Amino acid sequence: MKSEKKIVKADKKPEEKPAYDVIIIGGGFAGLSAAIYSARYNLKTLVISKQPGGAIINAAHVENYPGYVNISGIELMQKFEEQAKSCGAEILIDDAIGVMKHKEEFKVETEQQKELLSNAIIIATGTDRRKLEVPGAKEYESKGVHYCATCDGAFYKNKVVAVIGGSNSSAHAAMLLSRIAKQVYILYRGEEMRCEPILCTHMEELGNIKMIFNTNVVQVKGTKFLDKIILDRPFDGSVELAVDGLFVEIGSVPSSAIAKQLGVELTQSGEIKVNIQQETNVKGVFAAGDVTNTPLRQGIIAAAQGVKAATSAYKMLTGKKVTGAW
Amino acid sequence: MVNELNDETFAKNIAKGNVVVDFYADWCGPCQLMKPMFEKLAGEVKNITFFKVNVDKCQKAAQEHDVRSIPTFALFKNGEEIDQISGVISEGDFKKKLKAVFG
Ligand SMILES: Cc1cc2nc3c(=O)[nH]c(=O)nc-3n(C[C@H](O)[C@H](O)[C@H](O)COP(=O)(O)OP(=O)(O)OC[C@H]3O[C@@H](n4cnc5c(N)ncnc54)[C@H](O)[C@@H]3O)c2cc1C
Repeated sequence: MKSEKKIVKADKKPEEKPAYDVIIIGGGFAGLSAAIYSARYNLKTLVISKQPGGAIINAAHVENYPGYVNISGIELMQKFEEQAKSCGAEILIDDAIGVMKHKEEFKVETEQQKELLSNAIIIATGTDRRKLEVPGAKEYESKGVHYCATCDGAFYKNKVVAVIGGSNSSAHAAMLLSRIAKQVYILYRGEEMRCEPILCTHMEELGNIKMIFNTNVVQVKGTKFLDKIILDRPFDGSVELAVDGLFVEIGSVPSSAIAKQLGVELTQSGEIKVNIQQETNVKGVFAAGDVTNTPLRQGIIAAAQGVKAATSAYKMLTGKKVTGAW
Repeated sequence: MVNELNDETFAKNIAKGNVVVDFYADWCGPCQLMKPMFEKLAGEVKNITFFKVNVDKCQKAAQEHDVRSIPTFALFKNGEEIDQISGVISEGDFKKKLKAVFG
């Protein structure tokens, strides 16, 4: 606490006092929103993040975050960061590689060999993109196999590209690419797209997006760059499809390794199990955003969960209830 | 400050010594994210010269060096391309890579 009301027990030796009330791991929507609230609750707050901004920095246009009609992901997160700092939160760009319970507190170890103590932990580590695991995929990464249409699409002007996946992200990637490439294929293992219906309508209107369903990519091939993909069933009479670029949009996996170290309960797919107050099964450990068993992976949901996590941490640390909170 | 190269000045500037080139674009979020770290390293690391290339303006240099993803950092020793790093990478990992290539 920045105020005189220290939470740390008075009988502790000074060197054992945690430097922070709350350490937040992850600096995306969830982590930075938690930081704004935590700092405003007068808790001494540190955000540790491998990269500032989180997943949304890959989005050139965010059009559904209330308050902004259209803003780039990086610009939006710069505003979050600025606000967190102005409220008094500290931000450390580093990788949290280990977290353990240390007596009553938590000790976080980072890649840059820092050891930091806190009274509560908020895990807001988001997700990692699921990689395509077929022969050739790793070899051609950034040489034809890509994970960010916004970043790499521009290199495929008038070329033929394919997008793997049937979700909103694949639809967004296909639409972006259709304005650059001459032909876009969507390859999806399901029977029909599972994106928002309006996106399917937009894709049809664009005219150069061809959808291939019930089909998996089993290999990617090329010389210096990728030049063809191998399908598990023929399309147009052949299992070989000539493409210059392949954009992979097959979902993501929760970055919950740190939670696991702490004994936090996970779902079968590795998401952190939280209750409505963002509490985990481990006292003092809260979680928010895409890393949790959230019903919807979107910025505004992650931000709101960050706020709830900070509020729960405040309640646990001070015994005080915020007006209007549970 | 990291100096900007273009298609005309590229070859001459990478020809000698240890050089790292950041291929970027203004519209690319991950490129913007890497920029402060790249500029910091340029100020700190003395045995390497750091340059940047805007891929929208210098398509020749990007094509010649097989850049198909941004940001891409190309590592040259006396004009020869030794390695490339693509995407967002932490400062620690970036430094490790530079040390492995340039010592
Ligand atoms: C291309 C793209 C477009 C999108 N477009 C939209 C959109 O238009 N609107 C919308 O609402 N949502 C969009 N989303 C979804 C949105 O980005 C996520 O829902 C949101 O980012 C989740 O926030 P988060 O804070 O939970 O996680 P993240 O944003 O993923 O942040 C997690 C952070 O934790 C860090 N981290 C992970 N592990 C560690 C560790 N061990 N130590 C330190 N730091 C760590 C990561 O580096 C990252 O910075 C999009 C996503 C993508 C990929």
